[in-house]
Amino acid sequence: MLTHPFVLVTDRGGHLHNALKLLEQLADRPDAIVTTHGPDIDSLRKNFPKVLEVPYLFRWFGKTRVFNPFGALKHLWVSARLAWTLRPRSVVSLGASNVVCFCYFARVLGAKIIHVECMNQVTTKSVTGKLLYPICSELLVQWPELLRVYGPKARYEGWVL
Amino acid sequence: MILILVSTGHFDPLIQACDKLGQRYDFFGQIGMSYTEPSFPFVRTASPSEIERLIQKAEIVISHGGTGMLSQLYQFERPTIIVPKQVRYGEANDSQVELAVKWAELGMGVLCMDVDRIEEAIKECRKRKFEFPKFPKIGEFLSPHCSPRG
Repeated sequence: MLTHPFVLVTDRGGHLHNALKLLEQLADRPDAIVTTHGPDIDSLRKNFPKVLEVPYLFRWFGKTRVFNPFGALKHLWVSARLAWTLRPRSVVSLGASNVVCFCYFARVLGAKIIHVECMNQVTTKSVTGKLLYPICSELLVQWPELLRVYGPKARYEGWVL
Repeated sequence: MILILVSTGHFDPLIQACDKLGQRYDFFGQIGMSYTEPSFPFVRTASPSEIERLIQKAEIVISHGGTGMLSQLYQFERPTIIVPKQVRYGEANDSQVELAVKWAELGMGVLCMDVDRIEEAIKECRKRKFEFPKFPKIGEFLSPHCSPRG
């Protein structure tokens, strides 16, 4: 049963800021937002009734990224559980690597995935973009220059701002 | 007032470089988790509405090259000096550089790759006229894909 037709997935900070700017342009509000924990989550919950968190895939110690197998297992489990309970029909991603697993599980369950590449990717692909390209129906870049490095599924339709 | 915006992370080299300029400029810093506490007035964090108020009051904004911050500055069309966080300043990667360079190419800010050249960037910023081009809105394409009826 489809319970959440439109799910927006993002990450804390700049990704979330851009996701909120994009929502101002859309005709429909998302049925759920999936994101990572950050200082901006509480204010987000005031405006959107269903904000769900996925745990971080990596841990950061200062500027060093550390892979924690137990944390990654938890990340996989929560991502799969959320995809199963939300059963989205459309997933719009503005996220970083933390939303890739959710998108894969949602795709397996039949969702259409649209990834919007982060604005700071002007000429090079992001890791998230590379990972999501095979499963997305459309990948939207925010700079036309980036079309040169992506395949036919990529298109430029403008900015999220 | 020259507003320095660092967001929630660290950017000690920028704070130190501005601090070295001493009393010559009227700085105000939002310094995030930076370890350096400058001699000019500062706050560590501020709410989005407080940041907006500061941006509107500032003569010049010196900002890191984060997407969220540059997006906010675009909205207010403020004269901006963009100092991207870089590996040489202890960052994990140079992911802010591409956007900072593009922002400057479009005439929306002055690019400053080296914090020791911040004074030159301030002088350049005072002379320059900035342009803020309008872009198509991605939402027009996306809306039909997100509709429950779609």
